[in-house]
Amino acid sequence: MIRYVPKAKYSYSAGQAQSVFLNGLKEKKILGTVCNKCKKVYVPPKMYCEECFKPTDGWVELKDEGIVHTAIASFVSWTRDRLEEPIISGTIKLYGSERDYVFPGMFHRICTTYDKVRDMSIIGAKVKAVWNEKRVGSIEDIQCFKEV
Amino acid sequence: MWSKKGRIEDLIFWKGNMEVEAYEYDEGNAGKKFIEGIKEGKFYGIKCSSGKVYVPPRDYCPEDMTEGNYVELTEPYLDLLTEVREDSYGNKLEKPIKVGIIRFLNAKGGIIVRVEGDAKEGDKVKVIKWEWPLVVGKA
Amino acid sequence: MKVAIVGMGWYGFRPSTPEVSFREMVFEAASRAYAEANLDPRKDVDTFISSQEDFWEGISIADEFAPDQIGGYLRPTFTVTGDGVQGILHGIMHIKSGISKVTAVEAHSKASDILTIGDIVEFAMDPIFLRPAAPPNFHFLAALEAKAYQRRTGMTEEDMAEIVSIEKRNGFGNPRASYAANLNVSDILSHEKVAEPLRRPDIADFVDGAVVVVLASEDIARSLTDDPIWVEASTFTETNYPGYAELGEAGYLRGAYSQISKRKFDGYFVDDRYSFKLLEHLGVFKADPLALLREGQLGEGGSAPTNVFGGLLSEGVPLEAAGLTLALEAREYLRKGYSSAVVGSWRGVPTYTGMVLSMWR
Repeated sequence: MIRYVPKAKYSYSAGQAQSVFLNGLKEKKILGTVCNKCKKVYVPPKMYCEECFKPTDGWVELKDEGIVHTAIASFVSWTRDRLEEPIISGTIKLYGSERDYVFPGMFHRICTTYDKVRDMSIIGAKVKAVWNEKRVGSIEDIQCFKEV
Repeated sequence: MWSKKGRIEDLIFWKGNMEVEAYEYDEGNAGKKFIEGIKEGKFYGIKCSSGKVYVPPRDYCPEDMTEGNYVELTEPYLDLLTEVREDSYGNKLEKPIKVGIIRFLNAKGGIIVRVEGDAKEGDKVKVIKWEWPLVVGKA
Repeated sequence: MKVAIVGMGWYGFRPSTPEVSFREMVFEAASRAYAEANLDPRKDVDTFISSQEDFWEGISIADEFAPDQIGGYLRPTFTVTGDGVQGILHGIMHIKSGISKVTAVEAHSKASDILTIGDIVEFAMDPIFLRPAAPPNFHFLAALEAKAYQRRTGMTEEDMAEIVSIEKRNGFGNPRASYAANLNVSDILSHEKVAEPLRRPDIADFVDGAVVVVLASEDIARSLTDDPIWVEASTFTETNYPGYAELGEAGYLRGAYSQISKRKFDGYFVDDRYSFKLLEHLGVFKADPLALLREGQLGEGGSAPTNVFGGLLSEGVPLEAAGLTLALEAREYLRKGYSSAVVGSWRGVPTYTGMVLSMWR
């Protein structure tokens, strides 16, 4: 066997849209871009409307609350360790969309119980962002979305 | 958006890694034969039904995809040589590194090796350390 | 049936593009290409092709990130792990097979995002026979090739410096040539060697940039423009191990060129990410390129005009967009009134893969 450890390190340019979004989180704001032609709101934001293929037109601030669209409980950590207590995460549909599967939203942790994921009662629940005291301009500035 | 922010303070750069910890590559049959041969002080190539000899050996003959027969090769010569003085990022190396390709008469292919001493292109070489990767010097 | 380029767009071509993510950069290039083609990608484009490589993006399965920024959201999009000219080749196949009338092809580089680019190139080397023996500088493979080319042709270090000097000056006036410079031969020869016989100026730097090309079938092309640029493309891989390659012979490019219809070219646009590669690659199309250099025949009006807008030595190496960068140069050349040009592209160290793009009107 020949063993090799690759070194693959990056400094990803967040770019226009996501830089504003991440800096917004520092101010406890969830910002999205809007396309005035089709009215679609993008969270996470894009500088272009993928449906109309034109630049998005401006910024909108969304409430830091929404409903749970889907949720899972994982007993395996990000670094593949076995977990006693599961990490619960899912997609949060932020208010402001009329379409079922196309919506401004976020994938994040959900502060709830394993039982509510197992019996699916968490789906559709109203949740609100729990913000960290110290915020740096990261998706981690939100601790989780918690049931209200 | 149709406008763009230019101030670096307004832009975010996110440090991250591709999560690739380590690979363990199987050398394959021909690779094992070759590297084990090196450890025994021998060079192996494969001889194909066409009569052509390839080094390093492969598990198959490139021209007809049949298995060849291992043959021992002797008397390597230094075909090409370079001396590297800095790394890929422009940092000067403490000591220049000489790298070359050794080849054998009547065999197609060649082996990338480290070179010590004042061997020149065209010189016959001897192996200084029978380990993989190889270190060679002037014969 | 013929296939034409009906629009091209680009963005970036700077050592660093901090203002855009790679997707935003591609969107900018795509917007320009569609504006030129006068097409709406949401209605008029049938298939989308992205030429990319996961380790350049820093995203595994980067394919998933390909569609939106070229207009391919919920549309047939696929990726080619390779140079943009290989993307064009696939686009031509889409059109010739009848599954598409209009196809967009994209390639881009966010090289400045890659903190360990030397290690990523090393990671592409054969793990058994090459990586263990490789010194900590991937340019050594090009240096060995340069030595082989010198031995075969008699090319000197002064010849290489002459190429750098010409190319860096050719870049002035080219809006993509971030590395254009006024360097003379003695300036260049005063630099220390990086890897014998290559000096730092012999080696093109990496660059950020995106290029989008819109291809169309003959009937669509004729309906869109009176002056379509017809294209033919090919690719060839010689080997993945330098021990087996015919070093200094550009076998990969010869293999690609052997698949292309022969025609007379008015201009040559070849990968010159290393100075000597300009000659090695030009040699695939023209006999005795070294003599042409020494006789001053590589400029416009000469018998083999080559990289007259500066090539990659002036523009930098935009990873998988290198071939499309040369194609932009070739198109610029055709716009000056010439009737044909050829691109000879290469995927760079440690590959022995070449692409040819023939362009005519």
